[in-house]
Amino acid sequence: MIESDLTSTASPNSVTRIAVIGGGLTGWMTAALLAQRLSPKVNITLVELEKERDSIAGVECTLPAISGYHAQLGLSDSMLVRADIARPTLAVHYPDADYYLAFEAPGFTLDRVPFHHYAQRLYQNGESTPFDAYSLAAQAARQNRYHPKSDNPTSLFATLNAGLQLNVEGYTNAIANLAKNRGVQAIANELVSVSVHQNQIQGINLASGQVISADLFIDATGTSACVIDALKVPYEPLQSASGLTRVTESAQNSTLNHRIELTDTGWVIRRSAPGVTATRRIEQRDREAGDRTGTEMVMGRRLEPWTGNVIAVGEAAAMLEGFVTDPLHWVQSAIIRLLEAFPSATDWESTRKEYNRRTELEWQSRQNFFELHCYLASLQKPDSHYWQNLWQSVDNPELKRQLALFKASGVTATSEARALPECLWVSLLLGHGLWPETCDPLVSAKPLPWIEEQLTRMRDLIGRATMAMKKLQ
Amino acid sequence: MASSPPFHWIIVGGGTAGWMTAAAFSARFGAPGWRITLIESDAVGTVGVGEATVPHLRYFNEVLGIDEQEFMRATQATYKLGIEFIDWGQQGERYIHPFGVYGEPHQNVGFFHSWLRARALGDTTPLEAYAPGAVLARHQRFHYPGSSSPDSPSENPSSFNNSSASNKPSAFNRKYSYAFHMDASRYAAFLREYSEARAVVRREGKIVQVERHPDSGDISAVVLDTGERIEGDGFIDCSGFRALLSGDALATPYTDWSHWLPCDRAVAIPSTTKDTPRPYTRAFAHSAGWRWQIPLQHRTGNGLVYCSDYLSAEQATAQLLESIEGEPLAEPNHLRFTTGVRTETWSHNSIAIGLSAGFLEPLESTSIYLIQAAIMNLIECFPRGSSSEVALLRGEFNQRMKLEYERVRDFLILHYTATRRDDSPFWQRMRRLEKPDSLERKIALFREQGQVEDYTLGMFLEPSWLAVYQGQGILPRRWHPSVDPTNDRALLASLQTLRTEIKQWAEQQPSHQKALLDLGAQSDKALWPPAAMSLYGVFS
Repeated sequence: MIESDLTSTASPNSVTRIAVIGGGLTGWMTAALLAQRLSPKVNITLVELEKERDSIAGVECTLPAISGYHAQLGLSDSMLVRADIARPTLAVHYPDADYYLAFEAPGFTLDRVPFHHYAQRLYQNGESTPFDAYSLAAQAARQNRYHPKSDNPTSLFATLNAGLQLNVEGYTNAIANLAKNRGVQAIANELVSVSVHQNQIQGINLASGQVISADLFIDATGTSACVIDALKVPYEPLQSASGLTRVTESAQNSTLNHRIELTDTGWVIRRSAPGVTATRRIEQRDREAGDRTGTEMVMGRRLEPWTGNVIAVGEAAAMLEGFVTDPLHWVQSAIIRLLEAFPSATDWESTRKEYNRRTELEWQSRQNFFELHCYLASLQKPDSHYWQNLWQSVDNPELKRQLALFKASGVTATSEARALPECLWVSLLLGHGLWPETCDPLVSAKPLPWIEEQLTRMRDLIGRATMAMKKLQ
Repeated sequence: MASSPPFHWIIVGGGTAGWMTAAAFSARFGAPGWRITLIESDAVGTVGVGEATVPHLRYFNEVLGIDEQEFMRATQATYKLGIEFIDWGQQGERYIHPFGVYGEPHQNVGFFHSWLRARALGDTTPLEAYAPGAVLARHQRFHYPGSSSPDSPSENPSSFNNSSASNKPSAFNRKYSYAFHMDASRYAAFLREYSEARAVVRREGKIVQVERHPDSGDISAVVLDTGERIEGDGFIDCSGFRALLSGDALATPYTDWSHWLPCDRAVAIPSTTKDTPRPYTRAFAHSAGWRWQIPLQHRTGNGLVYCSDYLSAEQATAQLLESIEGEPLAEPNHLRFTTGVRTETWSHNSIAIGLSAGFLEPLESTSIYLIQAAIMNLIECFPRGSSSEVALLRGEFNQRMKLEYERVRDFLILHYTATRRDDSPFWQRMRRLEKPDSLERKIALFREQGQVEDYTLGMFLEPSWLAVYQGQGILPRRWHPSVDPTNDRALLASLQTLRTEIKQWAEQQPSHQKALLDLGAQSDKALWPPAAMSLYGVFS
């Protein structure tokens, strides 16, 4: 353990040029934050591939965490709302369960015990109030009301954490403009080939004859993944999502809120941003019976998203239906993760491994969340062979342990794979009627009338606060 | 162990672990139907570990509704702002691992990177000069952290990018936390009184036999030396190193970590306090281990931890006596241990808490923390429902405790292996030690670019790792590029301003001695700040 030498001068292998390949939302979001944080010391070039133009359509939704990304860029959610690019979402509607999933845990902690144990106690006693009755955000979404989040922590309105539904075209343009203002050089061209030498990308050869070289390449080319593929990095399909196809439609209006509906063999997910509503059907098609509709999606993940001098982000790194959040959430999370330990030199082996380790933990939580939805569907459709078989076939012992533990006791298992807030899990499970079978002993030790009084008061408070919110049209 | 009231808990052993468990159970499950019996014998001594604590203990006391000043009087406690490590990285070196954080982040990058860059520019100020808690400790001063100061200006939201705004001296008291040095035997006695007032029944006696159910293997009863047989539904093994239930009766396997942490003996001697008590623990490395010094109000705790391959008990005792500052107050107390943890601390219907569960040397004052973590996890995973439900809760509890022990273990090994000491066979061995992969990976990552491995479970997070890495001479090859754009002079000037302001702020705080008197005199009103399950405080 000898102290290592610090050098203040740039060594020959310092990272000074980054090439982002792909100019969709993924590419621009990446380039914008990299430039914001690293320019002018690092040059950022973005190559917009000509084919991807038409893929810009529709809506992407995200969790409240996007505000952290925006803050780093000097943006705010409310600026995007005022610019008619974004619509705040207080809760996601699951109509099959008649449930609204808010992004903040319902209820309040009482005597240091998580709230859902109290709701369970009343449920056990015959009370039928749905769990979202204890969430102001969910009640507001149910009644189509809105109020911005309050900065005053003692206000009920401080619980109004909103996700965003973004008009992809408007948002991409806004982020691209910002990226260009921060010094990103954009090149629009066609990719011809990728030169590889000793498992490193040497250059990206464009139709114009130009060769893009860089110290670090970001593969933002979506499912084509043409840069990371050149290094032959394995892609591992997720077995529980095999055979799903995707059909995306968008309409020039904006009426519906974010909702997730079950079908016989999948889901229909509708999101609605200013000026556009997008519907995505993720379903199993009977190919043998000649059904040719939809694009088959091979959902899964890249085993080492950072390999050599390439980092795959967005759908080049992993693809999986996220229900309450779309790919852009995972893009911002990847960029923030990269920037937290951005390598200033190419001897980055440990940093690379740590990035991949954390990405894998994130993937585990994404996989768990997807398979949780398979489980919820199996609860909703007890007579469906398709859903029952699908859940049976899910090979995820840790998820099954966590669900069994929750079902037994309401205890949430600790895990480092927590890329999605724990409150979403608890809320979704209770919202789908999965009430724990036993009561927390601390809650059992309290008099039932006291619990009833507390929870009734809470619901009244939320009811009154909801009525005070502005009705949206 | 299918359990709902009436349910009878038997706590075996009444040291710190036993009475903390009894107190927590009696405070949290006040309802009729729960019975708690604690069996202890005055003939069996307690080890009395954990005189030095971590801030989490304040949370434990807060949950129990304990008056902090009353607690301090009862346990002769002093305040603790961190631990000073002396002679670890190299003989002659010292640093404080504070309960708190360092400096201000810059461009979303931790302060440590600004410090690294300043160091490369020739500024040799140690990192601790930027931790208000460490500076307060160095000045032998103490005040509550928090924002209670009436003249502190309110945070201005518009100053988001203006780091100087948050560097106002009024912000320094938000960046640290505190714990106590206390007399653990008195704490046990204090909690005994608390528990007995809440219907815990204490039984005097030595356990001579443990009965198990012939089919399930669960423990059904214990038999005392008086011949009395006490039946129970659930058992808590707080019998210390003896591990009467988890070791003797259930034979739960023990994972031996002594190849990583080879110290296996300790000798302890209390002494009179020579000067006014320091508001921090001291840990001196010596040729075959280390020595603690813990200042209480009425005495000083001293102990020498060593590896018996290199030092005899006589040598250790002599070495300890020579180092003691005041007059010895008791005969040397010799302890033997094997570092490690039981594979399952909850087995059948018996949960091992404290030394019966595992042993990690008290280098970072983790003994009481690990007791507390076990109690809190047990309360959350409290047995209920059918046997299959209990099995799930037990699995979760064991998984959580395993992770707690492993993460503390890695942090302790770091202290021994991040060293340039070469002056004795012990240190030569530690320098060449083959570390656990989980630690090897963390160190390699840090050396590359100053990144501390990201995790959320476990008690030692980024500031603690930085303290030890930097304090013991492990530095990264480079810093984060986000701190590069600031020009050299501006960077150096901003660091100088920051440490000067911290020093000036610290000098205005009361001395530790005065704080003990004055804060203690205000016991009519709960003025102490809220507690958190964090080493770094609720504010930072």
